Amino acid sequence: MDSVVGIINLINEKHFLKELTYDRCLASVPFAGRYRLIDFTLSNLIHAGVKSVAVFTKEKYRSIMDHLGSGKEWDLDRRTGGLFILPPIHPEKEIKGDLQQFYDHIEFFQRSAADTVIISPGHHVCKIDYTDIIQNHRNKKADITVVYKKYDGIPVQKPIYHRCSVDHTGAISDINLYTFPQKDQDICLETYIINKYILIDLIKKCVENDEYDFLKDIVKANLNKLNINSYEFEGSMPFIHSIESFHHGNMAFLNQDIAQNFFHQDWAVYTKIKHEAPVKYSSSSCVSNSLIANGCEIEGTVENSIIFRGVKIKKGAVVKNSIIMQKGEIEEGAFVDYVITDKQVTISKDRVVSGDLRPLVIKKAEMI
Amino acid sequence: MILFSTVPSISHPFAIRELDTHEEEEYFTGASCLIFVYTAQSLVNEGCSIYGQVDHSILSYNVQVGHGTTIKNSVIMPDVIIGNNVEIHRAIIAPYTIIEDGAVIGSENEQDDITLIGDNQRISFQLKEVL
Repeated sequence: MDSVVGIINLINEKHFLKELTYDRCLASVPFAGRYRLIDFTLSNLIHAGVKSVAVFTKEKYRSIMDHLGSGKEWDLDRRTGGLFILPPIHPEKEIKGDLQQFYDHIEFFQRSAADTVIISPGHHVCKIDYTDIIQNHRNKKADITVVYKKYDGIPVQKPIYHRCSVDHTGAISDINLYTFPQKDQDICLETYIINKYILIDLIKKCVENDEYDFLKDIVKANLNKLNINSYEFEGSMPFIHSIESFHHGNMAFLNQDIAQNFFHQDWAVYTKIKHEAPVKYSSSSCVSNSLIANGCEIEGTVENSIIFRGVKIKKGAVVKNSIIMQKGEIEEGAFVDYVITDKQVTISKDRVVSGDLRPLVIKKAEMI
Repeated sequence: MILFSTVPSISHPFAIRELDTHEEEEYFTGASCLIFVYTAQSLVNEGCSIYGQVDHSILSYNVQVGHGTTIKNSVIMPDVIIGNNVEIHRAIIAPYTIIEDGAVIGSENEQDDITLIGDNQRISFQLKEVL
């Protein structure tokens, strides 16, 4: 599909993962033992045959730049097209909205050979078939297609999601920004298909009028002027908007059906290759219902947990219902329950660390 | 501890494939998935799904171990699918082998030879073969 270009928009990311997004952007948060949130979106784009992807970053982009590299693992290390990381042109100024950054990088759109643009956030964990959406977009001769999904996540504390109203023809009749979603309401996934020339035109018009938000000033403002189509995404997607939902989303991957759907059906989820030795289980190890990545040394007990690469769990240590990120160390006799630890966290001997109503998050390189 | 009742499908090799476009080789990434308790003194590589017991063995990438299965003192090569209620003792199993439910392979007796299952075999129950 040479005529399609992908945009991964990180500009509207919110800070609901607190310590985990302290020094990295949301799309770069480690997930499911081996991946980062952006891997799912990137893999979906690659599967659809997109050969040119631009990642619009806002801040804290060291981690995502390191993870993406040249795009080699996603087959985007190419002479024509490929992966572009587009940070703010003027980082000293406050970013007024995503359209401002699109405008600053308007050359990327102009020079692209594509005629259709896919815009998506970087933190959605789902397998979307963009080919199908673009087919639908073209069949309906739409100007913009908005992808939505019926809400099936846990109740939200903050108004983060946008609700769309779809009429009987499948067109979007209204969009309510920043609402508290109820079950089965149609939630906009901030994923759009738009014709490139219309996009460039509208970006210029909006910026001239001091309007800087794609959803508000291009989609919502033009509901009656443009043909704005809708597409319902019916697959599974854990809604991540808080530490609890992040924990819940990760634990969903312990379910065989969900893991099967994400990793073994249709197309693969590609990620950065990091070679590690196989997991070493000692005679004192006891593991159940867990996902363990390579490079780990397990000598203790692990239950209902997700253990990332290179973690050492010493003898007598117990880890339950937790997410231990890369290079963590859980020393002898420690008890860890309902905790999310960032990279390189050490839990010392015999310490008891546990979450309460929500998971306890321990930030990077902390020693408890 | 939750025991899953669904069986890994024997017809689909479970794989998390990654394409290294420069070398045109497939790397297997993705975490190992252990569902059942008890993997002692073993090395387990990526892409494995373990629903049984693994004791003092080496599992290469992408090995599927079914419910109630016991693997002891063995070396399992990549892409092997092992069904439910299988017993494997002191064996070396070549890549891409399929071991059906209920098979018994090898002997615990250290005086006996080690069982070697060669390439592309499909082993049914009650096979005790020394090659």
